[in-house]
Amino acid sequence: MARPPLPDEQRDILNPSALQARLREVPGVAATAPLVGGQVMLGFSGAWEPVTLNGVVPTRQARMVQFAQNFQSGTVDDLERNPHGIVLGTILAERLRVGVGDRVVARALDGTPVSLRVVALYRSMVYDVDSGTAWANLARTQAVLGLGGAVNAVQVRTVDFNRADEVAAVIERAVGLDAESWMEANQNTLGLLTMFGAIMYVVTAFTMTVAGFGIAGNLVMTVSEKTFDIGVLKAMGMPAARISAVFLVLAFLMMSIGLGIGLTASYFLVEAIGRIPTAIRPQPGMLVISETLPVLRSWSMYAVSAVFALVVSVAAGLSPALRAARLEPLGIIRNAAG
Amino acid sequence: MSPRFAFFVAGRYLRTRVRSTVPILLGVGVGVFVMTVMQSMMFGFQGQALEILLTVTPSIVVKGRERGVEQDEGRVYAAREGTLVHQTRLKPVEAEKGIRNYRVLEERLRGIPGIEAVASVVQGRALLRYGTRERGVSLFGVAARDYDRVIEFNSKVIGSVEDLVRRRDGIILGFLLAEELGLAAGSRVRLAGAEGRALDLRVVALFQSGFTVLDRTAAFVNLPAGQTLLGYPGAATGMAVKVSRHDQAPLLARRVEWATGLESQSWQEANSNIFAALRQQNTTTFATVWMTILVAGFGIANGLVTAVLEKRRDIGILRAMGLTARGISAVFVIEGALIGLAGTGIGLFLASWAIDVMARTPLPGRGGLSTASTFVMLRTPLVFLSAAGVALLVSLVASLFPALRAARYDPVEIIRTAK
Repeated sequence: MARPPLPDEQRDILNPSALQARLREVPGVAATAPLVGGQVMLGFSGAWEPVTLNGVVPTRQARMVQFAQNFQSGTVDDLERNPHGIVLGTILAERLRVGVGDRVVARALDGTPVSLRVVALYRSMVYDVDSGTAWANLARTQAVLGLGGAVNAVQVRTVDFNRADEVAAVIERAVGLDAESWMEANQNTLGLLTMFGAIMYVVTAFTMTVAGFGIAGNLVMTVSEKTFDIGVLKAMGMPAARISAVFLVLAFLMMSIGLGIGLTASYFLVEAIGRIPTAIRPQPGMLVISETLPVLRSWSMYAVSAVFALVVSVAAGLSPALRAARLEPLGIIRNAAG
Repeated sequence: MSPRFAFFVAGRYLRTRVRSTVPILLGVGVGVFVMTVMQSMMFGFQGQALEILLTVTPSIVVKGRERGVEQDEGRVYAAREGTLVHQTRLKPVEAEKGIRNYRVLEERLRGIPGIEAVASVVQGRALLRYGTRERGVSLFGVAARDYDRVIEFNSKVIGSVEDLVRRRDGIILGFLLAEELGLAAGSRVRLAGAEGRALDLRVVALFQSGFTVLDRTAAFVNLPAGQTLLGYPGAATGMAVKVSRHDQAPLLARRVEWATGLESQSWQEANSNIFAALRQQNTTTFATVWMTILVAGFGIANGLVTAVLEKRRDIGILRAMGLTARGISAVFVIEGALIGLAGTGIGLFLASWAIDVMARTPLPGRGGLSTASTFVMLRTPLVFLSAAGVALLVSLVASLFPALRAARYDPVEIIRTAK
C-alpha cells in the first residue's frame, strides 16, 4: 500500500475520479481511494489541539489500509452514515477530554469553524497517529479546509506490499504527479529500525559463534584423544573423507542437541517475555504503543536460528575433521606400540 | 604447595593444548567484545539523551489550573479490555484562566531557599503555517531572559535569545521543524492558537537542543504573543523553576505546592516514563549480551572437563607427590582464569577499536531520543572494567566444577588402574 504524501504542498487534484481511473490501469495497483488532508485546530470546551484531519470515503478507506479494525466505540458505517461525523485518535481524545457523542470544533488556519460530532475513536497503536490524527467524511473535510471539490492526494494500495516503491516510480512516470511509497515516507524510521535490527543480529550471531568456538575446542581435543582409534580405522582402510565425516557428524550432533534445548527454552522465554507489561505511558517520540513487550511469534525466527546453528556447527567441525583426516596411520600405531 | 607451583602446572597444561584452547579463548574474547561495545553504545546514547534533557527541561514545573477541566472528575475514561469507555457525561465548565498573579508568584518562589531562578510560561499547542505547509507545534510563551536562567536556552539557540527579546513578533523554532518546513531565520510564519486566534510572526532564530521531540515540535515566542495566541490574556499557564541542587527537585516541588497551592512536578517525576523505558531497553539488551558471555563460560567449562579427564594420571601422580586436593583444584581454576584473562584482553582490545569506528559511523536518519548524527559511544573505564569483571567471574565459576571434580579423584585408585 502506498501511503498518502503529507499534504504540505497543496497542489490540489481537481479531478480525482479521472486520476483514480488512470491509476487503476497501472500494473501492480490493487485499489485507490481519494484523500483530503490538512492541518486544523480541534477544539472542545476551551482546549485546542493541532490535528491532521484526513477526509476520506470511509468504506473505500477500509479497503486501503487496516482501518475498520482500529475503530473503537463505533464503526466505519457510523462515520459513513453521519456526514458531520469525526473519528479521533484515542490519545488525542484523551487530551481533549472528548468522548463519543461530543461535538468538537474543527478550524483551519484562517478558516471558519465547523462543528463535528465524534462518532468513534481510532486506535492504531502508532503514537503519532493516535495522538494527532482525525478522520472525517471527504466533503465535510473539503469544507473545513476550503478546498471545494478538490482532493490533495490519492492513496494507492499495491498488489504486493513490498514492491510499493517500484509501483510509485511507475505512477510518477505515468501521471506526472509526485508518488510516495510507504518506504519513502517512513525511510527515517525504517533506516533506524534496520540499523538496530542489524546490531541485534550481529550480537546474537556472535553468541552463536562463541558456541561454535566451544564445539571446535571440544572436537580438537577429541581428535587428539582418539588419535589411536583414527590410526586403527585408517589402517583398516577407512578413507580420509569418512574419518572427516565422523567428526563433522559429531559436531552436527552436538549442535543438534544444543539446538533442541535452545529452541525449547526460547519458545517458553518468548511466551514469558510477551506477557511482561511495558509499564510505559504513551509519550511523544514513541514509535508504537504496546501494553506488553512486543514479541514476534513466528516459525521463521526458529528456522533462522536452526539454520544458522547448523552452519556454525559444520564450520566449527571442519578444521578438526580435516586434521583428523590428515593423520598418518603408520606413525600413530608405531608410536602407540612403542 | 606453593601458588607458584600451581601456576607452573597450569601454564604447562595450557601450552600442551594450545590448539584446543585457542577457540575457547576466542569465545571469551568475542563475549567480552560484544558486551563492551553494547554497553558503550547503550549508555552512550542514553547518557547523551538524559544530559540534554537535563539542560533543556526545568527542574520543577509549576502548573496553573487548566481551563475547562474543573469538573473533570466526572468524566472518566477507563481502560476496559483495551478500549476507552466514556462513562459519565458532564459538561465541563470554563474555569479560571491560568495563573493571573504570576509576577507576585514568581517573587514568592524566588524567596524559597534552594530555588535559583523562576520564569513564567504560557504553554499550549498551535498550528504553524509557512507558505502552504502547516504543522502542529508545542508553543512556549516565555520572557526569554528569565527562561534562559531556568534552562540552558541561549546556548541551545542558533543565533541569540536577545533577538527574541528585541522583536515582539519574533519566534524561535526547533531546527528539525525548520528543516521539514524549509524555512530559516528571517522567514515569516503564521500561527493559529485557540478559538481561531492567529498572529504573523518572524523567525528570529532556531533552537537546537539535540532532543528530537523538542527540536521537531517546539516553538518559542514572547510571553504576550503566547498569551494572545493561546487565549490567556494577562496570565501564565505555569512556571518553570531551576533549583540549585538537582537531587532536591522532588523535595522542593512539594515545598512549592505547599507555598502556592498549585500542582508542581519535579524533573524526576516528569521524566519517570523515559527512565522506565530506558530501564526496559537495558534489561532486554543485557539479557542478550550476558548470554554471549555465558556461552563463552560453557566453552571454558567444557574445555576444562575434558582436560581433567585427560590428565587423570597426572592428577594421581601429583597427589601422590603430596599435592593437596585444594592444590589440584587451584591448578584448574588458574587454568580457567588464565583463559578468561587472555580472552578478556583480546576482547577489550577489539572492543576499543570497534568503539572508535562506531563513534565515526553516521546513523541513517534522525529518529531516536536524541538527534545524534553518529553512534554515541561511552568510553569510560567502567564500560571496559565491568565487561572484564563479568568475564573473569564467569570463567572462575566455569572452572569451579571441573576443578572440584579433579580434587575428588582418589590417587590410589588412579595409579592402581593406570595402564
